[in-house]
Amino acid sequence: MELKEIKDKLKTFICKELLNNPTYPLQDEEPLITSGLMDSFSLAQIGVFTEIQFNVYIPDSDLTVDAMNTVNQMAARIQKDLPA
Amino acid sequence: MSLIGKVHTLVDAIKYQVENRPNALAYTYLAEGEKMEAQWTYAELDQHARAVAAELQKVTKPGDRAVLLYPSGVEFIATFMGCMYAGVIAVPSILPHLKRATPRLKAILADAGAKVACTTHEVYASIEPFIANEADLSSLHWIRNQDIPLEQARQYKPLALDENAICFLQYTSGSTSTPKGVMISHFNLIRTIEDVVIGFNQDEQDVVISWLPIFHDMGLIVGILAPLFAGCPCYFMAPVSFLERPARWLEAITKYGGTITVAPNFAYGLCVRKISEEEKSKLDLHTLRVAVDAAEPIRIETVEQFIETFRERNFNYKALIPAYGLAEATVKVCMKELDKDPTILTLNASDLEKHKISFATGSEQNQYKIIGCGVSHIGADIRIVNPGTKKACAKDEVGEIWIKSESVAQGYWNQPKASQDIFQAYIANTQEGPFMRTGDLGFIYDGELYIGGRIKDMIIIQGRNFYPQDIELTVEKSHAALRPSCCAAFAVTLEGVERLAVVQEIRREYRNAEKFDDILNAIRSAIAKDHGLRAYAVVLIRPGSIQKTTSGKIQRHASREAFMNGELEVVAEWHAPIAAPDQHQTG
Repeated sequence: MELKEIKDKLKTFICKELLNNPTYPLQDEEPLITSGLMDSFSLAQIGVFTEIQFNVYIPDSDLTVDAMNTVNQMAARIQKDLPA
Repeated sequence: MSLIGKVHTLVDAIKYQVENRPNALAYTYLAEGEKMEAQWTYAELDQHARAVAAELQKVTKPGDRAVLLYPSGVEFIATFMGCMYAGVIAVPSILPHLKRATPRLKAILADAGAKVACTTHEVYASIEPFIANEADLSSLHWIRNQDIPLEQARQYKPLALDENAICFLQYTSGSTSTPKGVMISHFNLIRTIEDVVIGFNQDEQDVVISWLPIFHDMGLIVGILAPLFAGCPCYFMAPVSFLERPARWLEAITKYGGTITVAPNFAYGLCVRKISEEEKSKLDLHTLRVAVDAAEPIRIETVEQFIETFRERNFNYKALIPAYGLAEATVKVCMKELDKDPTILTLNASDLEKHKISFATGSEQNQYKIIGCGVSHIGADIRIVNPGTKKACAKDEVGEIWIKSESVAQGYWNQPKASQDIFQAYIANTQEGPFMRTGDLGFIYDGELYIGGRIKDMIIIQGRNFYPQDIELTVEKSHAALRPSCCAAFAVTLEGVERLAVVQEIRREYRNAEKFDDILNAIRSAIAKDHGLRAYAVVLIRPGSIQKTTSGKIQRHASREAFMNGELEVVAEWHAPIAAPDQHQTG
């Protein structure tokens, strides 16, 4: 899967489900949690979404504010473990 | 006349009713929930009880224990009162009709050291085949009510009862191997009944309707014994009659003009879901002024749905009374006051996870609603204490509920160590005590007690505290294929870390569905959304296979054990791709 496709799917999910604003112009490098846009509890939803959508399980140790603060970070982490 | 403050034992209360109103109706048993099978006046109850007492006096001395094995019915009441008349300690127990219940009965018999077992002909006949093979059952002296001639009542030799003597043992529904018998004195019982009667403002004009198990605290004391003290009639049916067709409960209230009833939360939910429009159209609940919701966590949603559903059948919302209690305090600790509106607090959920009380201001997602369980009506001293340090909690902290009250029991039968730990607790920073530790978490706000959940059921993940019932509610609402009130959430430890597992029954009509992945995904997403938490395992099980107590409460520890041992009746499951909890870690 192309990185862009992963990012698009993530953005759609984040804007619709977590920000409750489907038209929000979310940027790839925009800080999500440190900016207060979403709270750290939303990471659990990102984690479950990633499992269901991409079949990638991100362990708790990687599902942190530091490692998952932007769409770029998330997409790169997902692509690393993407099933062939 | 009110007997409050005037009697020291329940025997005195019966004596009063027999002397003043011998022909007033005391009990009516509704067979199959509908047919009047047996009706007793106070005089009849007294006569039956004396006949049993005379029989007991032939083979026991005061202080001996008699185990009571009865289906719902008037015979149980005669024997329970007969034990009191004879000074024998009654040990009400669940019927051993299934093999599964037998180890528990044997453990109770051994723990209580019972010499006598009382039952009916029918029950005796059904268990006779295995009595012979069990030494601890065959060595008992068996008494069957139908064998006792009523004229024998005259041979009863009255005795003076000490109000501080043990009246009965209430075995807690803890683990099977180590049942604990809560020792209830006559005084404990009377004070608790007074607490109930004052709280309900209950008198001779009232009518009590109950379907609760008669051998357990709430059904026994609130359903059966408080009416005797208040002098009002009680109509009761077996739990199975209610579970088969929940409308029977509300039909009995309609038919007999029920004013008082009591049930756990799930029963109110069953009424909302299982009573048909046709059944509903015939109900009239205008007489009902007390409908206690207690004995398991109270779901605001259930309360609201019940009120909404039965408003058109003249149910007054103020009659829905949240209450809290436990066997160690005989039964009751506190309840909402009759004329008050229910108090619902909207708290900040993330603070609550850290056991801090603050009111919600922000988004709806971070809100947690909790309903007040009211006050004590006999001046119980209720404190909130840190269960670890045993220091008093600050006002805005959640802690363990500790109680000092005349309704607090005398300890556990034959268990000095457990009795000391639970019943003789002192607050570390003030030395006040002794208090009874409830094992429940809660807080006090504006004089009213609010209940979180059992400490031992608490799920603690990454320093956040979750009540299992909240997660269970999220799970069951996440997909239409899931059976309500049939979920268990609990923590399992793996790689040294606590993780969440949930077990949930699937509805019969979905059990062969092929879209189990959708259902599992819906559950996982809902838990993450509502609680900011990822489940480690989600297991869908066969309908009817989750472990519950006889009164319908979820047994989380039993589900956890079945999960760990691979004994669940799995339909479909999802596990995080990490090591299973029972595997050894290598590197």
